[in-house]
Amino acid sequence: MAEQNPFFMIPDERETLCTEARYLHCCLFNRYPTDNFIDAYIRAHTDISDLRAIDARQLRTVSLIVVCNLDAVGIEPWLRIKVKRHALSAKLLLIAYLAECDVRHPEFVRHNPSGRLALVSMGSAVLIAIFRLLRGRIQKAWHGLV
Amino acid sequence: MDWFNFVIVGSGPAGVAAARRLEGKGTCIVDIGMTPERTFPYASLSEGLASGDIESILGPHWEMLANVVEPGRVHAKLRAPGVRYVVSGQAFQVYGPSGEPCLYGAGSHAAGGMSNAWGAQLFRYNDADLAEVGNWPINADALETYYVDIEAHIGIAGEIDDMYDFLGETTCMLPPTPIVPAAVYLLARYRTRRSHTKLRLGRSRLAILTQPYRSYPAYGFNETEFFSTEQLGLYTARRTLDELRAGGRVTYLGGYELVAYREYPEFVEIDLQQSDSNAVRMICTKHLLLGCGTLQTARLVLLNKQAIGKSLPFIDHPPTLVPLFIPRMFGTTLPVRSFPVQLVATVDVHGQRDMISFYYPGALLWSDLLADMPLPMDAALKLLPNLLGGMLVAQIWETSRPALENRLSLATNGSIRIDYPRRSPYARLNSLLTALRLLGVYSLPRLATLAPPGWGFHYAGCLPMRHRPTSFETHTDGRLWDSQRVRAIDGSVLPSLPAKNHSLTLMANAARIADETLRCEY
Repeated sequence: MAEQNPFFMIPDERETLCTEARYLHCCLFNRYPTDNFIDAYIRAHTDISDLRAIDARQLRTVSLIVVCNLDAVGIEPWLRIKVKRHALSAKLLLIAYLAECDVRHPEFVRHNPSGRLALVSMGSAVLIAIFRLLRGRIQKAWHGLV
Repeated sequence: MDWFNFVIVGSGPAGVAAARRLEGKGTCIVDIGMTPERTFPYASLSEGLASGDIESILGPHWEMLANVVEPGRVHAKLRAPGVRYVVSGQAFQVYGPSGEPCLYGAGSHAAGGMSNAWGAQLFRYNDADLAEVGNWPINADALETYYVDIEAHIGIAGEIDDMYDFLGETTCMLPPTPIVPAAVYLLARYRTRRSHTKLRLGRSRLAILTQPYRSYPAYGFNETEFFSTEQLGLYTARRTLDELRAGGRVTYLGGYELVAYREYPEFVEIDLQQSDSNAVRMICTKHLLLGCGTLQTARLVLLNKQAIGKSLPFIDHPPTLVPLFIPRMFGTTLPVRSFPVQLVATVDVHGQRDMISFYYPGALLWSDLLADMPLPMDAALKLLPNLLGGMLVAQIWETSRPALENRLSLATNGSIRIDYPRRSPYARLNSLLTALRLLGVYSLPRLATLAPPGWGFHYAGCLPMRHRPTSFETHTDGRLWDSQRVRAIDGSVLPSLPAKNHSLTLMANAARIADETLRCEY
C-alpha cells in the first residue's frame, strides 16, 4: 500500500536526503539550513520524478562527497565538464533555487552591490574560486569521482 | 449549421490582425482560447522573492525547476505555471545537425497565441530588408498602410535615433522604455564614438505602453515577464481579441479546434472539435483564413491534403547568445524595475545587416545563471550582485533563407517533425566583438552559444507566397496554391526572414490578406 503512495519515502531515504541537504547547503552557504528548508528539499525529491531517476553512479558520487566531507562546490564544476547536468550540479542548483526563495539567504538580495569596492569584492571571490577549484580537482582525482 | 462569411482560425497576432479588418462583416474567430489558471500573486519579482512563498515562485509542482536535471528542456520563459499554458498545444520535435532531438516544443492553444510569451519587439520590414533576404513577391509598400494601422492600435515605444535607417518609421511612437545603467552607459559611450564604428545602436521598438494609451495603463516594468502573461501595458494579441469580443462585431467560438475542412465551389465546410467534450460541430463559411501559427497551419494543410510523407521548407531565426561585460559598470546598483529588451543594434559587415538585441536578465532567477558560469556556485553567487550591474546579453539574429535540408513534415501519428541539420555558427562574431570593445564592452568568442533551432519561435516559410505558386505554396493573396476559398495568413506564408523579427510583418500581412479576401468578388 505504502509503495503505491507517491509521497511515500522509506525512512533511510529521508534521512539520506536530510543529511545531503544539510551538507550541500553548508558547502554553498557556510551554514546549516532550517528544518523548513530541509523539508522543502525532501519534498522536491518526492515530487520531481527526474530527481529520483538520476543515474546511480552519479548518486554514488554525491553520497561519497557527503560521507567523506569533500568540497562539493569545488568538485562540481569539474563534473559539469563531462556531464552537462551531473546529479551533484542538480542537487546544488535545487539548494540554490530554494535558498533564493528564502529571505534568510542574503546572498540573493538583488539590490545590494558593493559599489566602489566591486572589483575588490569580485577579485576576492575569484581568488577563493581558484582555491576551491584546485581543491576540488585534487579531491575529484584522489577519490576517482565521476 | 452556422454560416459565416469569414472564419479565422487562431487568435494569435495574425488572426486578430485579420479579424480587425473583417469585423462587422459576418466574421467568426475560432480558437481553443486557453487563459492562465494561475497568476503570479505579487506586484513584482522582488516582492515575490521577499515573500518566501516557494510555491508562487517555483510553482506548485516545481515547474520552474523543469531544467534542473535536464538543462534546456523547457524554454526559460515558458517554465512558470502562469506562462506554461501558452504552449500546451500540438507537440513538435526539432532534430538538429547530429540527427538527435535538440528541442521539444508545442503549439499554442492560448487566447492570443504565442504573443503571450513574445519579446514585444515590433519592427517594420523595408525594401532594403526584402531585397537583402530575397524571394518576396510583394514590396514593403504593400504593407505600409497596415503597419501604420497596427502600430496606432498597439502603441509602440521607441525613439528616432541612429537605428532609424534600419528600423524605419513607427506611427504615434511613445516615449522609449527605461533602460538599466549598463545600457545607459553603452548608449552614451556609443554616441561619443559612433564615427569610429560600423555598429549602429539605439532604442528598440517595443509593444509596451510607457504612458497610458487608448484607455490602457502604462507598463509597470516589474520583472514578472517570466512568471505571468497578465501584464497590463505589454501588448499581446489577447488584448485585441478581448476588444473584438467586447465590441460584439465578431462571433467568437472559443474552446474549438479545427480538425478538418472541405472546400466546395461556393463555400468551405469546417469540422470543429470541442476541446472539452471532443464533440464535433460543423460550420460553413465563404472564406477560411488559417492563422494558427506557422507550424500548426502547415500541419493542418498537410493533414487536409493527406500528405503525411510530404516535407515542407522550414525557416527559423535561431539566435547566437553572447554575454557582454562592461567592467566600468560592475558594482552598479541594480534597478528595481526593468524590461528584458534594452537596446538594439545592427552592424553592416560585407553587406549582411544582422540585428543584435541587448537584454538585461533582471526577470530571471539568479539560480538560473549559476550553472552557466564556469566557477564554483558559491563564487558565482558572490560575483553576481556586482557582475549583473555591468552585464548584458546579446542575442544576434541573422537573415534566414530557406535551406533545402531544413524541412517540416508529419510523422505517421500526425505529430510535427522538424529536421534542421543546416545551422552555421555566426560568422561575424569577431567583427561584432571588436566593434563593442571600442565602446568598453568585452566578451570572448568562446562564451557565445548557438540557440538550438526552434528556440527563437520565429517560424516561417512552410507555405511561401509566390506570384505563381506550385503545390504547397500560396498566392500573394494568401490562397493555397489550388484553392479559391482557403487562405494561410500567418508566418507560414513569409518566404524568407530578414534579421529583424517578423511579428509586426506577419500581422500586417495577415491584415493585407484579409483586405484581399474582402475585395474578391465571390
